[in-house]
Amino acid sequence: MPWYPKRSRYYMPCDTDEEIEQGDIFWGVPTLIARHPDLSDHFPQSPTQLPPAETLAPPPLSRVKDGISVHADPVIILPHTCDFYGPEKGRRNRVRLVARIERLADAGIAEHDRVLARSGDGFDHMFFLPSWNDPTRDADDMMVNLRYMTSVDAAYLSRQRRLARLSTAAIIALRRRIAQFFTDYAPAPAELVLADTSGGLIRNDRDLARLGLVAEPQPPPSAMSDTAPHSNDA
Amino acid sequence: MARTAMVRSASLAPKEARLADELAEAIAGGSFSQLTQMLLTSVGRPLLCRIEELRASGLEPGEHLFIAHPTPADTDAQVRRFYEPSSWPARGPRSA
Repeated sequence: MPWYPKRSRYYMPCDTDEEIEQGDIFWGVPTLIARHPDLSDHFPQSPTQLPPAETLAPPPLSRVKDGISVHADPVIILPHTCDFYGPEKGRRNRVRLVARIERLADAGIAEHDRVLARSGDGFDHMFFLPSWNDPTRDADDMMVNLRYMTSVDAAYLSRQRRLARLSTAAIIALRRRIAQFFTDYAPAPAELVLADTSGGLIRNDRDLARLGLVAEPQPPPSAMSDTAPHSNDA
Repeated sequence: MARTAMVRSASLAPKEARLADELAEAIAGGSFSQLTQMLLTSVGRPLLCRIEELRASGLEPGEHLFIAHPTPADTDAQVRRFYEPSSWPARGPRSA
């Protein structure tokens, strides 16, 4: 079975006024790369001849800025929505972690390796994306490059500049890929769905408690001393 | 009461048993079976829907995948791409 959903089930419709969610894709958001200015100023012809980090001193701030390149590719929202959801933490948290989306054809991956990138069986720093304009057109295939993450101000993420929204199955695949990239372990999709469902219940319960519709959870009374498990029959 | 399935006894820790008792008392007329049915309906059914949705999308819910092929070394083109100058337009992007 594949890492990724069918192309026809990768995206879902999304109204402009809907809150921003994990996996939403935007344009007009910069991604930054901090190149070392000694290399970006005098980039040698052969990338394999680059000097090791141990021979390069940390530059002054003014030169750090010289080494920064800013890219205009589309981006995808990486964290779980609960970290930045508009009516909740998003009110105070201005940080949005995004990753750069590149066209597979432009990403510098050798032609014969693109099949591998599309399958998910290799390139674990990538998350495959078909084109949101035409998912069936493989010439426009893209990838999220998890090596190129950037923190941006929430002000960059206008819902009017949202290009696409991942389907629920594709979000599960994204979470799985992120877990793989950071931990070298890919949870089973059912495990992630269960976590999502449980997390939703916990968050809903918290919301209800805050609104005073249910009692705040109380610690169990210390007087209860029965600690041995027992059975409950149906 | 007619049974349509054999339900085995569930081993619960004391606080879990208390929670089950209190929930059953509050919403299921004291019946653990009815409580279980209600939880299966309210939690289990949506969960099953999402699992079926995964299957319909081509993903196998229980599958533990691993990366079968090591990521090939970056090509010179990928390294050069890292050192590319900004693509952000001087006046800012105007449209998608």
